[in-house]
Amino acid sequence: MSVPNTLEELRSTTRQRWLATAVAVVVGIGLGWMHWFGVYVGAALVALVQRTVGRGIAAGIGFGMLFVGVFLVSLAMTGDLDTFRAMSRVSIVAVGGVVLAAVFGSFVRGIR
Amino acid sequence: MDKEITRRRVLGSLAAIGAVGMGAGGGDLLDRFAAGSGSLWDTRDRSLPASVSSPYGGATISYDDSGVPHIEADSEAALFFAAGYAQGADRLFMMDLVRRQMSGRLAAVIGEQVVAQDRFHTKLNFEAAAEATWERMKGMESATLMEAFAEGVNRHLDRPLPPEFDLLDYEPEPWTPVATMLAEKQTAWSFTGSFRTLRKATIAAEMGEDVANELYPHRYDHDATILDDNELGNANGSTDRIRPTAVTPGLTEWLSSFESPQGIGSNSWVIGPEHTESGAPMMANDPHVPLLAPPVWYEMHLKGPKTHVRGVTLSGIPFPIVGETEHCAWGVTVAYTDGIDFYSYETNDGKYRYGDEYRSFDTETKTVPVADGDDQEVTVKRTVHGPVVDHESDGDELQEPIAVAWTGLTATRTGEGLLNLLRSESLKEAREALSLFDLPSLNFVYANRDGETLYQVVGKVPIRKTDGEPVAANRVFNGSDKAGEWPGFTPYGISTWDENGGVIPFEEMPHEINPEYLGTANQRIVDDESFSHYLSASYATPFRGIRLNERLDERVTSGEPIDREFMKSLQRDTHDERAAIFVPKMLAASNEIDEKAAELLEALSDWDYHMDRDSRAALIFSRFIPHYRDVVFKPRLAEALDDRRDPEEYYGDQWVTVTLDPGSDWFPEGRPVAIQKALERTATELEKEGWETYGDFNTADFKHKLQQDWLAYPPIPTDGGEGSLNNFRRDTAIGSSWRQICPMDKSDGPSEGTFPGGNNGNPMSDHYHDQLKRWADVKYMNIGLEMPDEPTVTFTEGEQ
Repeated sequence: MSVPNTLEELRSTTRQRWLATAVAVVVGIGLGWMHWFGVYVGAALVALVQRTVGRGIAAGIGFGMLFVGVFLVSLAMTGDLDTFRAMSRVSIVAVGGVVLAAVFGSFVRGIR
Repeated sequence: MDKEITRRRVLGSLAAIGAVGMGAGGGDLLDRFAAGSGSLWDTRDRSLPASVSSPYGGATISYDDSGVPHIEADSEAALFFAAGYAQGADRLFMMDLVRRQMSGRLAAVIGEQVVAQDRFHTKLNFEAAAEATWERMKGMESATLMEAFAEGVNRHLDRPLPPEFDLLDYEPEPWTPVATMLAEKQTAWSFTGSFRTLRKATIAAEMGEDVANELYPHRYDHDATILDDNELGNANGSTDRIRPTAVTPGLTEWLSSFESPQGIGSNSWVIGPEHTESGAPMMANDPHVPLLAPPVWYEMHLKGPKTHVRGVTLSGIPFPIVGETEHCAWGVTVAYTDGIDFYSYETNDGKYRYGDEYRSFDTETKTVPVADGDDQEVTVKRTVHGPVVDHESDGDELQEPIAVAWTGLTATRTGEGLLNLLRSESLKEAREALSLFDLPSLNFVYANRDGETLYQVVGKVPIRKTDGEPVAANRVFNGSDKAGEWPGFTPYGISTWDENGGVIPFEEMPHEINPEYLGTANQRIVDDESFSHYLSASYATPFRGIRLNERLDERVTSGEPIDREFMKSLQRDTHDERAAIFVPKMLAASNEIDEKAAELLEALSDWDYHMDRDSRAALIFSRFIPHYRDVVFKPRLAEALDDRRDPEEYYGDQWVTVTLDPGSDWFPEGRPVAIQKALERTATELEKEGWETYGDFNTADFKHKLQQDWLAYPPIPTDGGEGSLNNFRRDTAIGSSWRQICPMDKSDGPSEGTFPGGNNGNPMSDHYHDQLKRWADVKYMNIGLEMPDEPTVTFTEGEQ
């Protein structure tokens, strides 16, 4: 079975789509924790299994936001959230960078 | 279909452009800061590995609840390897910063804004002095331990680096013993580097010697000396000559920014067994240094076969500088003995005259690397006396070169002395160790468990000679006429000044063995006529010294024995002697001032002169003084000095300010008018700022060296002022830092102390500023010699 056909099958079956999305989110977060380009890849994976291009882009961006949320929760758990808030420019780069990576990654959904 | 293809192409292109563009345009920033993966976030994991190999053998580090490492080892080398490991874990960035600052390589990582600093440090060539010192120390035991310490530090080069390295985007070089020597030079310079002589010479040239002596008195008129006996002989060398020298404006201001900051000082006192409740001596110390985030001090506890000490040191230095051992406790204050001189020369055709001959400057061109800018070349020149300082910006190069001789520019042995002190078991051994303290210039206060006490001034004091005769050094010397020579002094080499009679012999330095009680607060050590050598160009203002001596005298005279609480009450004492001297003069002027100013004076009328955070009077007085100095000094100085000079650089100090004769020329309209004007400005300022009490203004605001708000400590109100024992200077953020109180009777409980902030330099550590509130409120913690049970890191013998 070719990749396009597999993708089409994932997209068309609700259960498989949700499962694939969940796997993509977990893989994406893991990759993003290792390197910022992992967020791009994660967003692309999440977007690719969505039914339409529009939904794919939205899901990719959503993945980026989720990634930021997970990061903020991890900061809160180690008591570093206040320090992060005070970092101003560093925090903007930290959050803005991964969200932008997710946006660009989600555009991969447009290719097929 | 075409539409679909176009959309795919557009989105595909955007995806590709985004990936490539982010990598090329912001990849570096994202590598450092991206949420989740950025290298800056590595430091959120504060844990150290439970097991570390050490080439020197077994050791443990146990961090306590305040983040203080307690280190125990089987051998001395293993102990200091582990000490290096702990400092590297907690202070790696500050260590690297000090090294870069002193070697003139800050701009390489920070950029153009610090090029002037780098030029200064390159010209003075502290690095060559550090190398000479290391060469001299090789073979000494302290040198071996410094090598082990450096190896311990360097174990962190492969671990996640502190966030400051991510911010500046560089990696530290391996730590070396020479870097430790640079940290020692930095400490010494911050305690003794002063260009006051140049400012005084300038005022003498521009406004006359009388004005210079009025603004920069050789001695303050008070009786609160540290030593009060008259058995030390007669002073040699005239002290009333200035040698007017109008130093180029740009040079003076440039140099002023690199001298010891105003307010560097300290308090210490020792009480002999005759006067304590326990019958054993007690000592206390609180050095006044810049209050930074993280603090200048690093606290540690070391226990090995030959060394057992707890105390504070400076980032990069393995041995505690202030602390306590099984046998003794000691503290230091700046002594203000004179270890720096300036020489001017006649020059001709690029050469300087030295006696009967013209000599070429020893010249070398060095490069100051600059991050994101062009590297700069610096010409490093030397005469026979030392490095030449000149200012090369704005075409304002000094025509008449000024050379600097500083005791720290030669090879010194302080590191070995410090190690021997930590291991000393008697007063005799402690004094032998102190004889190796070549710099900085310190009042050393000591007590031991055998009931002995000691006051000793350490640090080399050159005996300056002109035509073979000793001379005082409160002037710019004529280097061409060989005036003010330092016999045996070799800059950047090994001096022979001990053998050549070039320095005051250790036994002749001011000291007192077994003083019953004695206090030091940087005031005059001894009256000049009572001492056989020229000792100091000037001492600190005596406000704290007067108060300390008064309170010690009162208590001893009362017959009530001194206990721990009395010692604490001295460190908490907020009485400001400036106010005690000047507020009565302000109140006496009340008939000649207007209503608005009178309202402020009313608040001062029943004030007890304590600089407490809830006091309105303390607020008024603290703000009045700077306005009063502006009113008194600025107009006349601005008129007399070159436009390029900043009059504020030449103001009289706080003692001069509050003791000026009311008939002085500084009061053309009379002192009451000056007081009224300053009170008006104070009232306007208080209204504008909305300050009600002293605590609204007097907040401790510890900044980080990188000036980033998120690295600073949260501002916190505190007590104390410039003139009080509980010392705090809000404008320069200098004040009482580490405080220790050490009873020598072990049954009297452990020693106690306060730490200014937190021991860990990682802003994401729980110990970054966990002790700040305790410091601000002068509340104490146990700093005894007990070891915690649970090791955090265990070192086992083996290579990395």
